[in-house]
Amino acid sequence: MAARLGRVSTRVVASLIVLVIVFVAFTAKLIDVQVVQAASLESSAAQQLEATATITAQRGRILDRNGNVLAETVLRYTVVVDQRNVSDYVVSDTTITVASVAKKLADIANTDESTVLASLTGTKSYSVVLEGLDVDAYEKVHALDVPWLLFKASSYRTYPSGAVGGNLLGYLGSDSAALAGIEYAYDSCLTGTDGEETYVRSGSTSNVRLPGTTHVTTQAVNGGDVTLTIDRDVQWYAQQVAAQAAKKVSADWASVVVMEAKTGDLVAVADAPSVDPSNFLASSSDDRGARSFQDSFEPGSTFKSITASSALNEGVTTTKSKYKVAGSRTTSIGTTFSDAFSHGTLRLTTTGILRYSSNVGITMVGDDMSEKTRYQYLKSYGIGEPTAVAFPGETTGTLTNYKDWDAHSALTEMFGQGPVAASAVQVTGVYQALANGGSRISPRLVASCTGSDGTVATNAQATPVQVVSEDSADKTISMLETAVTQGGAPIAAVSGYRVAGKTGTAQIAENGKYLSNKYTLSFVGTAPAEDPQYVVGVFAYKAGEQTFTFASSFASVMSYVLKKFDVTPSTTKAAKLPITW
Amino acid sequence: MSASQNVLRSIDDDFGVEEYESGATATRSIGGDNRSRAGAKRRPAMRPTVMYALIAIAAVGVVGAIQLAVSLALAQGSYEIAALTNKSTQLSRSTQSLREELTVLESPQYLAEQADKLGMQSSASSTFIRLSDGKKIKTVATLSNAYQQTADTYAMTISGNLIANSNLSTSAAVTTGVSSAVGATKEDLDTAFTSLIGLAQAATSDDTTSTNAAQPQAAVEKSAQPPMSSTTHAEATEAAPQQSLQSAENSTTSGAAKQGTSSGELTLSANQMPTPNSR
Repeated sequence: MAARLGRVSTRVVASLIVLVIVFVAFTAKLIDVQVVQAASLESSAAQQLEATATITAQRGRILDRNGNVLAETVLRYTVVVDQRNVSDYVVSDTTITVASVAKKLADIANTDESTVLASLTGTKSYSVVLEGLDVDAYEKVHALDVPWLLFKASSYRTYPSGAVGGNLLGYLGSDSAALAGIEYAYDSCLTGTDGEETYVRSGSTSNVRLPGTTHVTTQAVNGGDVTLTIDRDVQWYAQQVAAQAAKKVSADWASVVVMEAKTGDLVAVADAPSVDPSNFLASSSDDRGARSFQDSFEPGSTFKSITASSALNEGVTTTKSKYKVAGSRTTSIGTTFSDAFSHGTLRLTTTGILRYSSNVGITMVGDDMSEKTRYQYLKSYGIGEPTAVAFPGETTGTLTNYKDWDAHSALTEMFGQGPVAASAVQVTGVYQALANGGSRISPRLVASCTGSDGTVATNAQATPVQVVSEDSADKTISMLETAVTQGGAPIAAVSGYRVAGKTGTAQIAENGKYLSNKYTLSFVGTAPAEDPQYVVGVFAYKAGEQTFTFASSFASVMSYVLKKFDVTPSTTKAAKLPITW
Repeated sequence: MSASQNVLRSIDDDFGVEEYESGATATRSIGGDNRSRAGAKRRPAMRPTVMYALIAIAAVGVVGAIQLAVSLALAQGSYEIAALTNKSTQLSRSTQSLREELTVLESPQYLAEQADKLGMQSSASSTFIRLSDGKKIKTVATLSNAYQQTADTYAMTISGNLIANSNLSTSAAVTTGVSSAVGATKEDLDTAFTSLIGLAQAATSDDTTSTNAAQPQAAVEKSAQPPMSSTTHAEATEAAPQQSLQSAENSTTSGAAKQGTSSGELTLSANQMPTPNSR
């Protein structure tokens, strides 16, 4: 009995020993896998199966003052193949050839079949077949269910209204970098922050995402929306008029600026030729910017309003002050300038000088102010400094220090030639000050930036600058109204509204001399004159001498603006100021 | 049987062994348990019953089945989530596609072209009415008299749309030698526009009395004015006024000027330049 028990014990002991050895071996291996090699194995597994993807933050939109979309980011799709995998395949006993697939793709994309076929043929591991597919086209291609086609989604900037506001909006490069305009200036508001996610792939050589394995490690934050002060419809109409006007007067380019008189907000800033940001390469590089902000020119007679209002404010003239105006004037250094039309001595009031746009007369009005005083008024009107818009590449214009003026330029400055140059927006800004009781509010183009979380950062209007007294400004407006009503530029009148404004026909200096047959035409005015609401400036560069033809473009735009914004018509008549004596 | 014996039996039942024989021993064992067991008759080794084995196997089976069911449910849930995510993505694409189409339909260029096709023109006049007393303030013409009188000479007649919009193009843009495609063609947009016009007409016929009712200060009556139509100016035969100013000559004597541009300035001396004239 004891021996039997001993034999049993031996077997049990042997079994136990084997079990212990196996247990120890497994335990050792387990420790090796779970502890010793844990890090490297985990890393290896992650590399083989786990993948990381960037969650692209969507770029914000650019909206007009009414929330209409001027620019937004949408998804577009790229079709790619590994050419080594491209071959005929069978579906329900029917062989689908590569050539037939190429034809279908070409039909959907409205492109050349041979180009598509070429992109499918070869040994490249990555070949782009089609790109920029919109959703409809993508779904058509996807529905073909071709086993070797791969799809890649990417962000695409689109501008639904095409060239409407294109010169202001700017555009993005092929790498989605902002290159110009609002896109560039407000890139920090529009750009979001990319996120990141991880997922498990179906195999080390496959990139098929296993369902339910996606884990967002960093949430993407979309970019904010930029809201402009621009009205899309007015902008379109202003561009229409600018394009037509440039053609009519054979100008190199034309601009139209519409501004709110009481706030300085820009309602439209139109340039012709305009650029379609969706297809900006189709425009010449000179036409891709915003000339209204970026180009300056000698403004000509529209600056006579600066001289007149300054003189009124300094008390050296009145609306009825009398001047004997000769046809020309010789300076102390022997140079001569004259009026644009031949005449003998005219007996004109200050109002009459503006009405007839007399160069000689306005220098007589401004003569009683020192050069320093006139220079300071020009500065106060915003000449020689950028506007509050700070548009990319914006010009400051030119305002040479009065100490550097010679006897000739010190006089020509008073009618906007010589040591002064300004952009279309700056010139329109001068009339905004006059229309707003002498209070200049530097223009505003961007109203706000609304973050993706709904936070609104308002772009405040610029601090007003009282350039001249309210009385001086109002009297200047009255004189400018007389200039329109008493024959100065009747074509600029708007039916039902009192309009005050001034023509400009400036000579253009080029290669050391003034061009003989090309001018900068302009008309800047405001309405209703009794309570100005809007200021419109129209400009054409290197145009024929057709000032009065061109002034009709002012009437077109102002008429549209007043009716668009339901401005109540004038019910009073303009005061009749004497123009001669 | 005493109460203490009953208690002991009960304990033995719990251990699954047979009853003790001696009531005296058992009675003693209440006061000293170990000693009473040592004094008891030795019994055969305890064996689990078949019932217990079945219960254990069943329990394992149930646990396994539950785990399998849970796994299946989770897997099914994952597939449902994936399917719904795909559906959501598809709907997002549809939303984007429709929104893109709508924004292009809303573009001023497209509306102008459609209005032109329908023969619409800007209204010739607008009448302003004060809402407080319903009194007509004024009827204003689109164009001033002077403008109309000079229209044959100077009219800035604008016909149709002059502003480009590549979104309205049917041709695909070509990038990097590979074509891109836009699914919505001009015909698609036209069809959508026609549908919208039909809807608008139906809506208008239902509610024709609310026009401009909410204007705060002045209501505007604009007859047959499209949202964005082209402007056609009336023609007249009278000559333009102020011809004398138009034909005035320029003088060209010496002077000085400076031209400022966005890129730099051109400075000219007094003797190099003709005198500028400005109007």
